[in-house]
Order: sequence, then C-alpha cells, then structure tokens
Amino acid sequence: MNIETDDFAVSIEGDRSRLVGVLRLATPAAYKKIFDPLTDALTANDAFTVDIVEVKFMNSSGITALSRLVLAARQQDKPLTILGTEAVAWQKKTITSLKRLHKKLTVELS
Amino acid sequence: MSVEYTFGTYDEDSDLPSISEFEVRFMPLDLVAHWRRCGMTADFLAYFLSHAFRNPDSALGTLSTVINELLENAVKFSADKRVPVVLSLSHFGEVIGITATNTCRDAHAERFAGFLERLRTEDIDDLFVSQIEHNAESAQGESGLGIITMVKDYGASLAVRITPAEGGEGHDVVVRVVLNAEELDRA
Repeated sequence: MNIETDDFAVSIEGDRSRLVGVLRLATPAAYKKIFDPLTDALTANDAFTVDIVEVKFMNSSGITALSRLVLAARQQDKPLTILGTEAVAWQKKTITSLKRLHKKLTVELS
Repeated sequence: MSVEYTFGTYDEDSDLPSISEFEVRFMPLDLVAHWRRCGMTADFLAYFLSHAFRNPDSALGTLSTVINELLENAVKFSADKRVPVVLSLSHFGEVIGITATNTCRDAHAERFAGFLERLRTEDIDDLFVSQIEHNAESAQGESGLGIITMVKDYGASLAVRITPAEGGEGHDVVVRVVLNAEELDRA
C-alpha cells in the first residue's frame, strides 16, 4: 500500500512501514486515511515497525495519530518498533515519551 | 458565561528591549482553506529567526514546531474565521518570545482554562499519557498535546491570558511561549 502527496509519502510492506516528508494535517480525522492502513497492517502481523527517520515535521495531531497506533499495539499485545533519528528535533524530544504507553514499544533513534 | 483566566507569568509590558521583531496578521479562513499555509508560515518565520543562532539547523526544527503548533491552534479555535489571528515574534537575545492571539468560542475558553488548570497542577508526564488515552476515545481536535510537548520537551515557558472578548462575543486568547536561546542552540 502506498500513499503519496506533495508533502509526504507512506508505504507499507508486510510488517514494515515507512513515512517520509512533512505531516502537518489539519485534524486527527485527516490522519485516519494514513493510520488506518497502518493499524490494519499491525493487526495482520505479529509485530510491526514504523520508520519515521525521514519525517521532518509532525504536528500534534500527527503525534496523536501515531500514539493511537501505539495504543492499538498495546491492545493487541504486540511488539511495535519506531525507527527515528536524533537529528530531527520533534523525534528526539517527543517520541521516546510514547514508551510509557506500551511496554512492548521500542524506539530506536539513529 | 465569561471566563477570566491567567496561566504562568503573563508580563504585558515587558521592559526588555527586543533586538528583532516580527508580526503577522492572518485571516483564519485563508489558513483553513489551505492548511499547509500554517506550516509554510512556521517554516519561514523559523528560518528567518534561525540565522541568529550558532546552530541554525537545531534552532530551526524547534522554532518551526513551536510556531506551527501556536498558529494551528489559533486558527483552529478561532470562532469567526474572518477575525484576524495575530502571530508575533520577539527576539530578546537570551530568549525568544512567540505570541499567538485569537478570539475563540465561550465553550472553548472554558475547556482551555480547565486544561491549563490541569497543566498547572498535575505531573506533566502523567498528563501527556492521560491526554493521549483520552484522545483515543474522542474524535475532538482539542488534545492540548501541542501545548504539553512545548512545555515538556522544548523547555518552553508558557503564559496564557483568557478574557471576555472586547465588544463582542467569545473570548480573547493570548498564548505566549518563551524559548531559551541557549536551549535552541543545543543540538
């Protein structure tokens, strides 16, 4: 599954997904079209990985949407890995806080 | 129903001389119609300011994130999308002040004051988790997560003033965030 717009791209292959670009959509509802397929892919696999290394910016509605994916992994009791980078301010500062939501969440910052 | 609420140290007439200033007025409607204008504006203002820092790339990421959150909130919660929101930036050397002003509905003023009261009295890490869990069950766009992360993750000092709108319906909301220049330079 692939979504591509002028601002961002999302790809899902099996148990891995990759988000790229700038995610600053207006509402949590606008994020549904991106995150519903991610949640479906999580449900279809025993574990799931989301690569956000190349997401330069994500607004708080996006962080809410990403948190919902973490809560879905918690509900399904599945390991979830978020791959990020220390080079991007919002990832370095905020993403590790999501570990409090789910014991099986791994955040790897390169 | 009228709300009067002040959060943080709200200094209306700072004597501190600013070394750089920038103010922009927007019709919220223009930003609602083309939402990416919020991000474009935040990127532009952050880029403009970032040149004053030793580590512009690091400053740029934080400034753009904070400006975008303030602008998105001001636009989203404007009651009348034809009443301007104002975004102003002041660089005082050691600190950067970013202020967003808008007029919101009464119900939002009440909810926002309630949220700020929680921010004032509760542990911020717990509040972050509790707001995420609350959001998961609600479709509302009022997460407060942007404000929480500014304070929790970006070392922002926050001041808010909510007052009944002058000569009209709703409430005026002024949100001021002060960022430490040294923190912005830290990679």
